[in-house]
Amino acid sequence: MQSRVLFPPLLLASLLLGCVGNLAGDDSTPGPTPPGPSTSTFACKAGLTPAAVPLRRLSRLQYLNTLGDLLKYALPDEAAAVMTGLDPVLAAIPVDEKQGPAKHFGGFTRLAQAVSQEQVEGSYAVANSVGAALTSTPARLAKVAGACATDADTSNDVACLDAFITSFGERALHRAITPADLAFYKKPVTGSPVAAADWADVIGLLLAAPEFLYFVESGKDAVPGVKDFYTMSAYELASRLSYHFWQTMPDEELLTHARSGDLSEDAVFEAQVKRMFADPRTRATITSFYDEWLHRDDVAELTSRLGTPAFDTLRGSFTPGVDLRQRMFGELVDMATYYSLDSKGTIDDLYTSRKSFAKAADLAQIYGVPVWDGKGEPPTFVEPEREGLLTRAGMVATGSVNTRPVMKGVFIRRALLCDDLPPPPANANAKPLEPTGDLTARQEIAALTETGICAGCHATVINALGYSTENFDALGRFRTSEMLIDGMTGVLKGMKPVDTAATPHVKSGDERVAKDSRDVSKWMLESGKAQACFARVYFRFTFGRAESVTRDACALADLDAELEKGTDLGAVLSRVALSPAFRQRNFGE
Amino acid sequence: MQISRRMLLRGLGGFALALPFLPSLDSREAKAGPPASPRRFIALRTEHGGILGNNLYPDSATLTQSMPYAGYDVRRGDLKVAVSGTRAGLSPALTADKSRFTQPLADKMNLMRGLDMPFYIGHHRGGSLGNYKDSDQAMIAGMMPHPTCDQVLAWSPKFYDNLSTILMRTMVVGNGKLSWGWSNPMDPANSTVEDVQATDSSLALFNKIYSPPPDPGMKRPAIADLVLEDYKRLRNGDRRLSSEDRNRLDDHISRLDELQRKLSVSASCGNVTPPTKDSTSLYSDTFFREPEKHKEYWQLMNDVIVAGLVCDTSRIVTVHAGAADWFSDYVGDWHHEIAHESHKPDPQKVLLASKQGFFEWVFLDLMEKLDAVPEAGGGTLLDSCMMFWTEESGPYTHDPISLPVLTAGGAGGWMKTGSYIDYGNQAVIGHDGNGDPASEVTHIGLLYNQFLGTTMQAMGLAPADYEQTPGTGYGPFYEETATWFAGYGKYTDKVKKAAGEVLPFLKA
Repeated sequence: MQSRVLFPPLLLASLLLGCVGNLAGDDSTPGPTPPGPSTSTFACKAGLTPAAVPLRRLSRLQYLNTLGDLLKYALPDEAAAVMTGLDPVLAAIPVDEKQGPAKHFGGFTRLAQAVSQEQVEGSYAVANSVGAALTSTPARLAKVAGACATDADTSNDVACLDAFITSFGERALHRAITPADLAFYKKPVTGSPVAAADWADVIGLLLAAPEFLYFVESGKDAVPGVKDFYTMSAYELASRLSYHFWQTMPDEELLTHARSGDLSEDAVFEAQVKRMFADPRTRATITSFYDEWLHRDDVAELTSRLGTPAFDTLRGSFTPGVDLRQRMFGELVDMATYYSLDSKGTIDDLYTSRKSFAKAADLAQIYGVPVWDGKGEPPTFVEPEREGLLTRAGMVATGSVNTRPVMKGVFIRRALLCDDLPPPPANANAKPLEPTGDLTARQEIAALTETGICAGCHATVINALGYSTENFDALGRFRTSEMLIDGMTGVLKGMKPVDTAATPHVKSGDERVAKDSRDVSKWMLESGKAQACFARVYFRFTFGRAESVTRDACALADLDAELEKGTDLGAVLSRVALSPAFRQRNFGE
Repeated sequence: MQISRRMLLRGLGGFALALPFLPSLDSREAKAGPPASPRRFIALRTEHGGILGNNLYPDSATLTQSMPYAGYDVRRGDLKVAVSGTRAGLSPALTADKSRFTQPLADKMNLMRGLDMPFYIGHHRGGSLGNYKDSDQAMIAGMMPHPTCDQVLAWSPKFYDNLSTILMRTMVVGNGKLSWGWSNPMDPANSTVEDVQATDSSLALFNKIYSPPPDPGMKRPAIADLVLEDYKRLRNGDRRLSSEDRNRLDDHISRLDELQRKLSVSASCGNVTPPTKDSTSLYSDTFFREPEKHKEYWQLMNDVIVAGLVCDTSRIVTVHAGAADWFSDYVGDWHHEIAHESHKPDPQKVLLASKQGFFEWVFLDLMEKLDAVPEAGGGTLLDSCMMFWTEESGPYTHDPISLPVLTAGGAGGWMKTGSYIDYGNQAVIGHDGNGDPASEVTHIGLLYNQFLGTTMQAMGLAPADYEQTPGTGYGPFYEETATWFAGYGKYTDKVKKAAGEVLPFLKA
């Protein structure tokens, strides 16, 4: 859908190209206040407790996955066909948009928690449709509920229903079924014999239940000394683990431990965390974490300017395809996933890796390396300057003729360092960087944003981060000099050496000049801010809510400390489940 | 959509609707005398602004009347359609084929300038309907989310005094946010404010506003009541839940109540041939460079919107045309190259074409379709509407000074129409035009809250039904504290005090 491409620039506009236009020489008007130093450490103190959070609903993805797994449980042979048949009603379930403190920078779809009328009506329609589908023929119903559901013997109908509700309901509601539940969920039954329509309504009722759509938690034991805090029950732990790592309902092994209650025991719980993290289903979750975090919403289609003189001059013989942009983002995710799951990589690897994870020829061509097969040792970049996350095509490409140092800088500052930036002032009339034919992108940006009120942010905390990768062009290709292209005619009017040296102020007060992004990456790690930010965004993703750097400090500090000491990413990503925050809940406030 | 002799509404994509089944033409009602038409609210919003005054408004010489108001003179004149060749219009942007844009239609419009938000908001979405928090750059400390005015109407028993036919309290259309409502509309005090999902699919919209005739063989009751009971069972049971959990369940329960209400609606427009073509089927990688497809897209959507209003399954529509480059074939970075350069001649030309296209193929198209439907009590469906189109910004993109508003319909006789109105204070300059490529000057005007409040009154609500603070119109009142804002310190007490009143020249 085209709008995916076109809307983000609207949202980001003035931050991204910054602060030019009608300054009218009025340097006396105050600009926004540049950010102060953000904390790279979290103060975990005794007595700090996470805030109570409202009942969370399943994300759309979790809802669909759960539905799919329930169908596989109930009707293994025909689950896929039933799911396909549900497409029209599933389409009415609203799509979750990224949410977060700054949704384009470290926002995640898991944080979308609004429950709209469409959601309620959509899930109700799905529940009814599944009920109808699973009972559409006697043969199907017999597979779903057993022969007792369709045989001529009516004396076994109640037992048949009870058995079905107990087993199917346990999976749908994520807890053991009680006698009161059995009585309630049989309410649609109108008489004897139990008709297919009765069965359909029983199924529909279970799939419209609050515990199917929400993570309903009541806790188990009070946490000593902490008011209103309770440990999670074994079933609740099973759900937390399963929905965090697999985005779906617990599997049979987890359910067995939930049923027995031994999942509440540390050893069993830790063993399950280990097992689940090693399971292939975790890969999809970790992939989605990196995909949502590292996706730059500001990058236009790389084909949008094909055929325009200036862009054609820039691209030369290279023709970007419609999938290239997504491949660039995919490479970022593949890199991060590789170090998280396929090798014992650390956060340092994310920022220093010189391996290419380009799986397609066009991206590999940009990097000048062979295509990676996705299995073996990834090829190594040719240029020493291409090092780490910041230098990959997905981080530097723009979809236009010029690079966009401001956009790059804002993304690094906000998504990778978790610093806040104030909005630009009203007269910051964002202006496009049109190639002038005589200035480099950096020179143009500097002239437009580093004087007057704009300088407060641009000259101190935004631009320099973007300048550090000016040795890569708008298609992500390495360069030592920049083409000076006339924006109107496309005529190449000259070349100028790129300048990547700048003072990035990774930490407030650090006046060192970085020679290029390699220094920036190094200083991001040295400062601890890269690790702290990683901890924050992963916490956000895990718990489906915005973190509080004060009240969630203990869980954040734990993740941060492990990242700082070089624990491998896989261990860090699984470790979050071992934190008290994951295994307890605040029922107060 | 054309009205044939057989009184059939025909739209694109195979959609057809037989007029004799319209509730407002129902013979039973005719015997009892003409029913009062319900009022309808339609809000359309486009991105950016940036259109220059001389491209959007008629010549200021047409403002022949003035009256003192809020400490200065506000002005009005008659809207006069000028015909040139095959085209007819009020201004370069508000132009269409002369066979379509006629003086009688213009007589049902109002064109307003000089409506301001007195604070910097930058890019926003819900701000157009009163949720100023739904903005990227709102810099006002303490700004809080606020429901948009359409959602206040949607849950107002004064507006919907009879819900027996209503399947969608609001048709929320387009791509991107615009409407914001309460998480629990039945309990606003304990609600959060959440965006209301929009649809860009005309077919999905049709499926929501059209209720097929009931299956006579279907006697089994729906399970909705049991689902509701299940939620209450949990909400009121003895399981440990936090108060936040219970609030959340209350939100869901209120949605289930609404679902139950809708399940009891048996409205039908009779012989409806559902559309077979969907607006989203037109999407492609090049969609936003193909104005002809944009026409088709909006015609498909307008057909369904009109059907919803005709069948009285909804009375509120919000439309957010969320991409900037509708009705343009421009290739490139529209946002930066056109919107943010809009005062330069070439980008303004591109922008003008885009706005003109939206006027002709969305606004006017919808107007025509509404005006083609007669109401039993006299007049047309359009006459019962308060329909308006506004933009994200005024002539300076990012800046909410002099927001343009074009209205259509008389809100069931509540509103006078046919006016070009300038609420700007000619003595108080907002932007002085210095350094601007077009030397565009703006004047400080009345508050946008006053316009929104006026629309609420046009829909039958009293200020007490919607004002957060008495006398402030619709929406929270904020005032910019940053001196660089072009309106800083320029809104007088008289202007602020007027915000709760009906705008001059509008009340019939």
